[in-house]
Amino acid sequence: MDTKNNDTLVDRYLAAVSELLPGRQRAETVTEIRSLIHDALDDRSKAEGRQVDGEMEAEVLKQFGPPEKIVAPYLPEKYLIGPRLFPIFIMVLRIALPIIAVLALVGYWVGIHQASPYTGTELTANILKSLGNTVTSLFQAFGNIVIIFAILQWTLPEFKSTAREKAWDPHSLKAISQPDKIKPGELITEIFFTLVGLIVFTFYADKIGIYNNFNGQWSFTPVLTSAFYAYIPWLDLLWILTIIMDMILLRRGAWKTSTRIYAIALNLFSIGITASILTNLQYLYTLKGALGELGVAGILSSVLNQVLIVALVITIITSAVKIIRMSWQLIKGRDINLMPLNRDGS
Amino acid sequence: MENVQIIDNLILEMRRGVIVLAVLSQCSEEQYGYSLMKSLSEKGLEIDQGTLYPLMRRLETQGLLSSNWRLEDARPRRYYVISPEGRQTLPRLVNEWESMVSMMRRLLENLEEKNNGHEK
Repeated sequence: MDTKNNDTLVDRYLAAVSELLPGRQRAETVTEIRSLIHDALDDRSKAEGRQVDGEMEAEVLKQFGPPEKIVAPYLPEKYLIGPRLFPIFIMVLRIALPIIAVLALVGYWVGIHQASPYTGTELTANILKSLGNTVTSLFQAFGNIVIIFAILQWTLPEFKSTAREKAWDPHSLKAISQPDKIKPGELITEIFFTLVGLIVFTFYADKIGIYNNFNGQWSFTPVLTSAFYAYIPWLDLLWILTIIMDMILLRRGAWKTSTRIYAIALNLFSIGITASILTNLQYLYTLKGALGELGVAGILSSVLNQVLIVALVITIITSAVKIIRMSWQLIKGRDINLMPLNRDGS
Repeated sequence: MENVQIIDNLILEMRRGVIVLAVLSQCSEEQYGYSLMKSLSEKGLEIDQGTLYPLMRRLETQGLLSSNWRLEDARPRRYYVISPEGRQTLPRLVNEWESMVSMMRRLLENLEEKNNGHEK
């Protein structure tokens, strides 16, 4: 026991309570709690027929509970992000974070590649660095979103639900989404174009190039380099696996856990191939042979390069979004499947 | 164990619903916090002090109770009494309470009949 001070346990308790209260209500609330503690002590003293001492103070304070507990009901409820804004906050996170992750990864890899083509020895270091940068970007984005919502929480006026409740129409309710349902039209279109790509790049890749008609004479210059041909077996594999998945889906008529896992793996594979093409893009085609004589090869090549970069980045983002959506549906799938489909609950 | 905790919480929630009416009904005469808690306790309603005192402050903010500080035995005490607005509100709350009791009695009688039917 501390013998240096003459303060009692009640004094210490009230000092601790005081620290937890905001300035404007501190004095009054502390006086009230002091009064309540002394009433309780008086009552116990009378009931037990003994003087108030440190032991009795401890017993009474134990009943009152820790300072945090006694203070809590006197304080208004404060939220960093309240229940009104929280669903919107989660929605924004779900949209923003995956996009930021993909952009950070792609941007970093494109930057590295444009600065200096990577060598095999630098690959591991670059992967770790890009992952580290992506995590940092995600934390920064999360922090910024939290700050924006916290500011909205403090500044927006209180939500008046009555007007909204009166204006609300049940017909405005969204139809229940059916994430397991497939769209046969989309799948058939995908099979068709994948098959076209497969045939063209497997059997006619050497026919892709610039055709010129000069003085009635046709000339042809291929644009794909030998480096591109190294990708064809991988592209074939990707497209064949895509067609197999689409056919399985058409046959089953719905997404299942196994097809979702298959689709996630396929999209990861697609991201890998696309990222590799993106980083080696300048070695995969050339316009110089075809347009060199016209003197516009440099400009056209630069424009085409930018267009292809944008297209490949969009492809990577689309695949990443699909992976996230599939993963989310895998996690949520069980809940969705437990929901009764018919009105009678069958 | 978990079930006991759930039941305790449900009982606590039910009790919370009647505390306002119980406090207003006992404040026709001046009461300070501790005396009110003892008075309610003697009549069978045990209320945690951490619940009662902030509730009295809230009722005062809402205009249903009024309070004044008084010095007794060299110690300041805050006395609460029902305000004119509280006096107007109390009968309406009492009526509501009585209709709830009747309604619940009807609902529970129905439940009792069903239980008896199952036993037979």
